Amino acid sequence: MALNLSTPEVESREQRLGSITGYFGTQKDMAAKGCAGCLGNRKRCFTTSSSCAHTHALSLLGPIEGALVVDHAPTGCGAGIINFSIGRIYAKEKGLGHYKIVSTDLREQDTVFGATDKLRATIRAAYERHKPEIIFVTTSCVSSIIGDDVWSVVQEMREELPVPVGFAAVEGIKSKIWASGFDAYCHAVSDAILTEPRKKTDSVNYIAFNEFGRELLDPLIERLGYKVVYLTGNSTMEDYRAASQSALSFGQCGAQSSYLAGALEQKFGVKYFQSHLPFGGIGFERFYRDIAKFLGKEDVAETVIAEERAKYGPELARLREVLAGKTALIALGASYAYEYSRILRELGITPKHAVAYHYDPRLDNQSDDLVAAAADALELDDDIDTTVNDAQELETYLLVKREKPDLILSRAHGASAWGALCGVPAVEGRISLHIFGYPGLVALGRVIEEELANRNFVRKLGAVFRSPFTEEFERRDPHSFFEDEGDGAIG
Amino acid sequence: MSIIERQRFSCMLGGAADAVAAMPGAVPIIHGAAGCGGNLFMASYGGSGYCGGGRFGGNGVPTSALTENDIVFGGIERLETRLRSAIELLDAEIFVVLTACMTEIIGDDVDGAVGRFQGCGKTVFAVSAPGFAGNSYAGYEAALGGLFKRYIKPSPADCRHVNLLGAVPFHDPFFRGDLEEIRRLLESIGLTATTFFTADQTLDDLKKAGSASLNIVLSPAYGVALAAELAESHGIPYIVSELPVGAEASAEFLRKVAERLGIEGAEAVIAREADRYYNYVDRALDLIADTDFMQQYGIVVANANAALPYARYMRRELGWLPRYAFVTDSLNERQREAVEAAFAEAGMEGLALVFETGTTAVRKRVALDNPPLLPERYGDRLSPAYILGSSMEKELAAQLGAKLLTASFPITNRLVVNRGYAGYNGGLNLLEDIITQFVSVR
Repeated sequence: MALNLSTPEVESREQRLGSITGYFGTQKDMAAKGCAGCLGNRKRCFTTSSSCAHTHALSLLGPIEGALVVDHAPTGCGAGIINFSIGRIYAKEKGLGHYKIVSTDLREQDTVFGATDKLRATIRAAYERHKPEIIFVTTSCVSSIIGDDVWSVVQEMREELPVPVGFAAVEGIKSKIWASGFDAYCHAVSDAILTEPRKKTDSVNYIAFNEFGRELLDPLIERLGYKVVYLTGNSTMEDYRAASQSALSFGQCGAQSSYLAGALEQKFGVKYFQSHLPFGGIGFERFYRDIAKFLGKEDVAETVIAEERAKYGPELARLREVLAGKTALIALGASYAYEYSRILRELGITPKHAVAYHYDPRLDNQSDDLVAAAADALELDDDIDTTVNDAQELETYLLVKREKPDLILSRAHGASAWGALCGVPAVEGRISLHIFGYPGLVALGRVIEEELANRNFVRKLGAVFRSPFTEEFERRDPHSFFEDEGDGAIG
Repeated sequence: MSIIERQRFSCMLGGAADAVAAMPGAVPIIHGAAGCGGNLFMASYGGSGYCGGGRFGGNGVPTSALTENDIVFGGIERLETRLRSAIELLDAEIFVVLTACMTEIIGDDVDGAVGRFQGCGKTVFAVSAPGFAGNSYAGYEAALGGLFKRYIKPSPADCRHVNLLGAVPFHDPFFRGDLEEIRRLLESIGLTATTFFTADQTLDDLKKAGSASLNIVLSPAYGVALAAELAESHGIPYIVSELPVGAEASAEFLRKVAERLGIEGAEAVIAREADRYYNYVDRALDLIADTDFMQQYGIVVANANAALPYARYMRRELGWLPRYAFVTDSLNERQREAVEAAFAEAGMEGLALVFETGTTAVRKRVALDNPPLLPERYGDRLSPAYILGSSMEKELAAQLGAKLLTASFPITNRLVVNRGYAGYNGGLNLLEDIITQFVSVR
C-alpha cells in the first residue's frame, strides 16, 4: 500500500499497517488473519515498560555522518543515546566522533508558555557549533502535548540555514510500537535526503542498524555483478543519495527497514524484497534466488548456492547431530522471532514458543508479497505457538517457566535475564548479517553448542532464585493478562 | 545560549524510578507512556557500569502505558487497572506511582487515584516526577522524600542508628560498594546504618530510618535539602560530609561522626584500619615507587558527589598534582556554592574547580590552558596526566596522551558489581584500578 510521503508526519505502524502488540495463538493463525486484514490487537490489565519510538528515531538519525539532531524534548528523552554514541567512539569505526544530538531541554515554564523560540535558538546555536551537513528536528510527547508547531519552525529554518533541515515527528505516546521510531527516521531521511537517480548503478541497498558482517554479504552480491550500498549507522549523505540508483533493496527486518525500502520503491521504483530474509541456509537460498532472478543471474545463483552448501554442509550435519532434540524459547522482534524459529529448526533444535515484540501483518512494499513470517507459514508449512508482547518480560518469564526450554534466544529487552534466573542458558539472538546465510547458521550453531556444554552459571542461579511475585502471579496463565478480545486491526 | 548535549544524567522520572526500584520491597509504577521506563533505563543501565534494574525496575517497570487517546481523555482509569494488577501480582509492600511529563501536563488526578488504594494492606503513594521538572538527581531526592513522607514514620531516636543519604543509585556507579563500606566503618565504631539501596536492605531497615539519630549526607549537593526537611518532619539532625575515599578521608569521617554522636574509641579503630591499609599499600610499593608513573598531573571529571573525593585522593593519598576538577552536573546556585565551599575547605591549591556540563567544553578548556609546545621547547605542560572521569573523557585522554580510569557516570567500559571507592577498602580499590591502567598494556 502507498506510503503517505508528502505529509510532514509519519503514520504510526498501528494506523499504517495494522500492527499489533497483543496476540496469543500460532504463527499460521496470526499470518492468516494478518493476510485477511482481520488481525485484532489486545490490551493488557498489567503492563511493564517497553521501549520508546522517540529514542529509536534518535538512534538512527544520530549516526548519519554529518548529521545533527535537535531534539525538542526534556533532556531525559535522549539521555540513553549516549551509550550508542560512546560505543562508536570505542569502536573507532571510520574514526567517527560522537553522535551530534542536542536537546532543547524543555522545562516546566516551557510547558506553559511554549518553546518554539527556544527551539529556533537551539537550532541556530547547534548549527553554529557543529556546522553539520544536515539537521533533523525531532518532536517529543511534551512538545506535542503543549502544541508547539515544530513543523513551522522547520520550514522557517529551511529558508534560513544553508543546509537541509529534516523533520521527524516522533512522540512516544503516538505509538506503542517502538519500531514506529524507525519509520520516523525513514520518513525524515526520505523527505530530506533521497534524490532522483542520476543514473542506474549496479548496486543493491541493504538497510540495517549497522554493517557488521558485511564481509559475508559483499562477496556473494559481487558474484551477481553488484555491490551493496549500506544504509546503516555511519552511512553518509552520499550513501543515502545513491540509494535511488540501486536495482533493489532489502533490509535486516520489517521493523527497521520497511519504511525506507518502501519509500525507495514508491518514489523511484527500487524493488523491495522482504518476503525472504537472507538469514540461515533456507533464508539465504530463497533470498538469493529471488534477487538473482530479478537481476537475470539465475545461473550464478545456482552455482553459488551449490558452493555454499558444499562448504558448510559437513559442519552443519555435525551440529544437527549435537543439537538434535534440544528445545528453545525465542523472544525477539517482529521479524527475528520467526526467522529464528526457522533457523533453529535448520540446526535440529525444536523452537517451542516464539515471543515477538510486535507483529506487522503487512509491510510497506508496493506488491502483494507476504511478510516473512507469513511466507514461512505458507511456503514451508512452518508453525509455532506464539505470543506478541511488547517486551512484557513478566509474561515471558511465565512462558519460560511453563515451557522449560533448553535455551532462551533473545536480546536487548530483558528476557534473557529472566531465562537465566529460571536456570535456562541464554544465547544472544544476534540480528542482521551475523546470521547471514550458511556461515551465519553454522556460527550460531557453534555458539549454542558451546553455551550448552557448561550450564553451571545458570544452573546455580536457577537453584537460588526466589520468585519476586505473589502466588497468584505464579499460578497465572502467561496469556491471562489480556483484558479484551480485540475489535479490529487498529487498537 | 547554552545548549544541552551529551548530558550525564537522565530526567527526574528516570532518577525516581531507579531509586524506588533500588529499595527493598518497593515497586515504581510509571504513569506515562509505555516507552518512558525502558528509554530512561537505557541511560542508567549503560552509564552505571551495567547495573541491572532488579526485578521491577529497568525494562520491567510497571506502567500505565498511555497512548494518545489517554492523553485526550485522561489516563486515570488505565492507571487504576494496572496499579490494581501490580498490587495483586507483585510481592512487594510499597507501590510508588511516578507521574511522567504527559500526565503532569494533562493534570490527571493521581493523588485521588492512589487514595482509593488506601486500606488495601499495602503502602501506595504518588511522587510527582515529570522529566521537565528536573534531572535524575532531583528524581532521587523526590523518591526518597516520598518514602519518608508516606512510609517511614518518625520514631523515638535510637542514638546508635544513622541514615546514609546523598549516594545516588546508578548515577553514582559505585553506590552499592560505597554504601557497604561506609556502613562497615560506622559499624566499626558501634553504629548501625540504613543505606536504603544495598543488597542486604529489608523493609525493617527502611522503617528503622525513622528512628535515626543522625542523617549523614555523603554529598555537598544531593540529599541536603531532603535532610533539612527531615530535620523538621522527623526530628533527625544531619551532617554533610564528602564521600570519604582513602585512609585520611576515612579517618576524618569517622572522627566527625564519632564527635557528633559522642562516641569514644574511634581512634583505636582508625589506627587499626590505617595499619591494615598501609600494609597493603606497602606491598604495592615495589611497583609504584620503582617506576616512572609515580607522579602525575590529575584531572577529575565527575559529578558533584565524586569530584572532590577523587581530587582529594589524588592529592592527599597519591601525592599527585590535580590540576582540574570539572563538575559536570547542572547545579542550582545553592548546590554550586556548597561544592565551592567544600573545595575551599579541603584546601586544593593549584586546582581549578570548573562547573561545566559540556564534554567538548571540558576538552576545549584544557586545550586552551595548555597549548601544545613545540618539540624543541622546554616548559610547563600537562604531562604526564591522569584522568578520573567518565567514558566520555576518552577523547580528552587521547588529546593529552593521558591515562583514563572511568570512575564517574557514564561508565560503559566496565562492569561494576559491588566495587566501591569509598572508605579504606575503596581507597585500596582505587589504588589498584588506577595503577592497573599503567600495567594493563604489559
